[in-house]
Amino acid sequence: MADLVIKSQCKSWLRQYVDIFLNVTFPLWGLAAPVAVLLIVMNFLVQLQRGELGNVGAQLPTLILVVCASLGALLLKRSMANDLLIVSKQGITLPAFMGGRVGLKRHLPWRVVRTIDSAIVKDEAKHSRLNIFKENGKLETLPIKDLQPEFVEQLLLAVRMWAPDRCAPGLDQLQTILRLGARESAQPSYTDLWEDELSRRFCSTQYIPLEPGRVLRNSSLKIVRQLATGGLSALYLCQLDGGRLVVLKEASIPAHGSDELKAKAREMFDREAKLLMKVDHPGIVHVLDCFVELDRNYMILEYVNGMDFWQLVRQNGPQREADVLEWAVQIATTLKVLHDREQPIIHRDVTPDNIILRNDGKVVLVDFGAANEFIGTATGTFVGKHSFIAPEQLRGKATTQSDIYAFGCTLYFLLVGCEPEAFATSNVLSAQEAAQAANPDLRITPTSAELCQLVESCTQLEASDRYQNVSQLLPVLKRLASQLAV
Amino acid sequence: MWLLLVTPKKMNQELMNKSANNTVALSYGEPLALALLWQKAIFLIPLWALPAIPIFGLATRYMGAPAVELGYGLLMCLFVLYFLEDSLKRKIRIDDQNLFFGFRVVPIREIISLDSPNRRNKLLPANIAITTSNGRQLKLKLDGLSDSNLESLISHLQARNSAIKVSPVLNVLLKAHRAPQLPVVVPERLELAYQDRPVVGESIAVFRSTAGKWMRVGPIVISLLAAPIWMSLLTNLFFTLQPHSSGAGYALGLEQFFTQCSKALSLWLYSIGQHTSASVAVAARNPWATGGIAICFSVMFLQLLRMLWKPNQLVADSQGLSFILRIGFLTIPFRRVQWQEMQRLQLQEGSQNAVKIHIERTVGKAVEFNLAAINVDERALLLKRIEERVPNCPIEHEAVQSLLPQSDRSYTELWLQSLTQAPERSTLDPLEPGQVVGESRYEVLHSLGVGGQGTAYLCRDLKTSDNKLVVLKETLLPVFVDPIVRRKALEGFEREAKLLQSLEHSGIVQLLDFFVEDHRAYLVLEHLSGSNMREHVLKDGPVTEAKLQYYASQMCVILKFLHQRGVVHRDFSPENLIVDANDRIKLIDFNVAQQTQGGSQGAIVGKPAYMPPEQFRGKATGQSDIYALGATLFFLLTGQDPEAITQSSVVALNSNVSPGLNQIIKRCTALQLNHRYQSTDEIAADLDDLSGQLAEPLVESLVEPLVESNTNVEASTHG
Repeated sequence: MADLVIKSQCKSWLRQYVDIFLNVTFPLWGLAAPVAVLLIVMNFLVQLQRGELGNVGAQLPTLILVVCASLGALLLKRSMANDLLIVSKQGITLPAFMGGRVGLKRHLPWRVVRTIDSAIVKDEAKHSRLNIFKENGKLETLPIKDLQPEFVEQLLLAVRMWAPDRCAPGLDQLQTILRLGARESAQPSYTDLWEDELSRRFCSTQYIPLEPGRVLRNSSLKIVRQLATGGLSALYLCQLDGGRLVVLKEASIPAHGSDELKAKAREMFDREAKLLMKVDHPGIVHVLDCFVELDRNYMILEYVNGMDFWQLVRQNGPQREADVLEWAVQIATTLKVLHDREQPIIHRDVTPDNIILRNDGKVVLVDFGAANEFIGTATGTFVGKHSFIAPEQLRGKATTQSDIYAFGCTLYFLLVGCEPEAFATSNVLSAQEAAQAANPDLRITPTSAELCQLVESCTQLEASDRYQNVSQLLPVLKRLASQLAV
Repeated sequence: MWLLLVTPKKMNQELMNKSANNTVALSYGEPLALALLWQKAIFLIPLWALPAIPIFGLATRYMGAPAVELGYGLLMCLFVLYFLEDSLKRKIRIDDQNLFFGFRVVPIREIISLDSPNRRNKLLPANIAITTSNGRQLKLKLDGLSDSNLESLISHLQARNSAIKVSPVLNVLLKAHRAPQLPVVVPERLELAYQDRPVVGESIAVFRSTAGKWMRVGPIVISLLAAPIWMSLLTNLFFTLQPHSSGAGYALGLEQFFTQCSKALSLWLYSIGQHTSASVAVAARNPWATGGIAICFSVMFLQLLRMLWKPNQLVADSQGLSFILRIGFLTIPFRRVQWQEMQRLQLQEGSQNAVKIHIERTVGKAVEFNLAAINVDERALLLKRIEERVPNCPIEHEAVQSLLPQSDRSYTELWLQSLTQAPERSTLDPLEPGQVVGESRYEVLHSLGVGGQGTAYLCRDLKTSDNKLVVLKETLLPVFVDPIVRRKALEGFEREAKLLQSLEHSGIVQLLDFFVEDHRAYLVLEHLSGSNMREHVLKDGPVTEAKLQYYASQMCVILKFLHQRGVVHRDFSPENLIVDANDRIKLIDFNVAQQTQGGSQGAIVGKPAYMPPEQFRGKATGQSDIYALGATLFFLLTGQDPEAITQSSVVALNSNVSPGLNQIIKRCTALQLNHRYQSTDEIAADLDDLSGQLAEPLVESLVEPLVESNTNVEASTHG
């Protein structure tokens, strides 16, 4: 995103005082002045009628002065409302008031900036300052305590990204201090969150993933960026035919190994992809096409913009029961569509990573297990999230009930905030109690007994003990959801 | 505005909840109530005082002046209190323990429920009732709370007391507010607001917000101004009404004070007015000042006109895109692009952080417009329309991304973007034969294939005199822009490599060297001849029991060595055991091995048939490798992978197996940890017992040299 920008409010004591002054004098410039203008204009009209043009001339300056004062105060007030420090690809824009200083022309393109360094005082972030040395030798100083604390880490990252050669080593030090500070106060540090997110998405691979800019499929697909890589598969954001954005899922199987297995895996993948292409449901990411190129298998998926459940829970902790039920009904409805087909499609990978919550509150299932299965068949290794896999699926006999198991585990994850134990029947309540006891600040609302029981029976180890199909599950979920919702 | 990287709203809230000693204030009150407050501020005294006057008159008759003083005092107190409560009710404040509303304090932990009772004959509820455990209720008007305030009121209360029951009606109300109202059917003629210069709008907003503040402060100021005026009026009224007013009888101190106050105030205001008008008049007579001011004014005026003389609408109709300025019914056209003229759409950087959409045309000059001027929610509509009308017009991917609706929940955009800016690898292809890596030390001969540790290459070590053959295992590390994250990835690799290097044993593949080049990590391993157990079994069929015992005792020795050093292999499987011509076993592939002291939960990679349940749960111990050992023995005897997460029994597939050996495998693959062998020593002992029973004794001489290195095992084999 070229227009990606990070912003932070920037406090300044001078701005604060000027603001108070303008606020206090508002009746003068905001109320009295317009009334005065009105009176003067009326007076004009009266005098014009009388033909005393001389008086009008004498009063004109007064009018102008009053209008200027009023408008000036308003514009000043507006410019003060803009107290943002903006970092973008183009440069840094400083707010007009910074600390005790005022300045115009506050946009500094990166070429004007020589280095950015930090002046750390007493090893604490709140006393430290950020120094921006300009090419003309001048220095802009930014007290860190004036910035929103969560912004500072983003600022450092942004500077590192957009102006890597202008970072002084002092910034690393500051980042470490901030991170340690956040840990001490038991708050998530952005750097930590970022690291988690990156290590979740990007693992070392055994093959060379495609770099941004590469083209595929007769140049109709262009890689925009990598979304995730790991082991033998990768996920990319691509542009299709120079227009819409799509997601490309890549599975690369090693060149050596049993040809027979590879052929079998490829055939399964192909069949599954073709089946998925026929499914058209708002709750399922649409599979647009699949193809093989340079011995790698690809699936083109619709691009869904939103936040996955893993991120959601990581950032916001356990979710409210009413919300979880609403999502559960949506997911179950979607699974029903998949399972009730003539040839049932087993999703095989219903995990929080693969469920995206869109901005409008709709839930979309993405990333079918087909690609993982493909790699698994071809190489004999297991890929996937162990906590969400039903025992029989691991033994290679996935059924529609395996999806129900994973669905139950996903509900557990949303309600408790952590992954369930692998191959165990989930008990939401006791897990919530344990989490609450471990962290008294967490404030978890205990889930209702009925929902707990539902999760428990979804996650039975024997497939025959679970809900047998989604059609049985759905009415129960709907009833629970309606009890909470209306 | 530009797409901002959203600071996670929810997370902020979370942080706030966690630190929790923040006091939250939510504004409350509908416009009518606010206006009433003004009216109250002005007229409260007369309303209260009129009935009071006759009473005071009576009081003075019987009790004299002191009673009147007291009465005035009481009246003032009541007035101030009433007024204060009314003003306080403009805000709902919530701190850690209590909710404050007016003079009421509701302890949050005593709140039982938030409800919104239905009204008779009405569809929508009017109030929220906050019920506490002592049965009292606090009612708030729904009209007085804005949507976001209602939401934050509920979330703040719930965050502080999770036991509060929120009525489903409220949840529905909130949901209705939250749902975005986008047009379901996009009209043929799409009209989007285009705000190129937000100055005017922003100025109005600033004015309104300041005025709003004064609306809230105003009543108090007004009442302070009005009180003395009314008081002096009342005093006069009082004296005229007083029955035995002899004129100079006595003076009421309080009334006199107020009278003087009001006089002083009006004099002060008057003098200020006089003074300013006089100084303005002086300034106005100075030609220089007048000239300057006139210039300023005209510049400002022109600037204002320029700001206003801009299109304020972007219209996409059947012909093309056009920019128009619409004032009331008046429409002034500006630029226009026909659909068929559009050739290319891309993003361009303007000055001052501005980002522009640049449309190249087949004829004439390109058209540019500010991305920020289009409402974030409406951009997707525009994009869709362009894609529909001109499917062949290439749109730069950055432009597409900027026009797509952004997730307000995701703050990872920046991080993801950082990946596209990360340093690139210098080569994007697998290593070619003849290529030299590792500071010109290793020459690649050919690729050996892809294994658990990444691609393997057969190489020649050019630094050794006889150009020894080595195996190079390559892993591609992710490329990150942030040095801290990058360092961490490298540290992980280095830790694993150092661990492997410290393991020197004849049954374990030797790590000779490791290095990182071009974001690729390399392990240099000794070159082994021989095939892995799986290939071995596939070629020659299942192994005999006697041979199996020989293999098993070697495996026990290897695992014992690892476990003594606190290493769990985690991927002990037929693929990772290499057998040479002398039937010696070597264990390879330590990628997933981690020291048990670390206690970290490893990610799950591996062959499920060889992994015990506790390893899936992320709690692999030495006993997990024992399970894998049992499963491997099963494979060697039957030539089939065992069933995952199941206790294996060979008898069903191969009835020739002795019950003793079957028992060992069963005990190795027990799902419960306490039913499984605790250590490799126990297995070795059982194997020994078994070999005693076997008709064909083990070839001692073959075992001997292997166990020499480890005295413990020697003792157990002889014992």
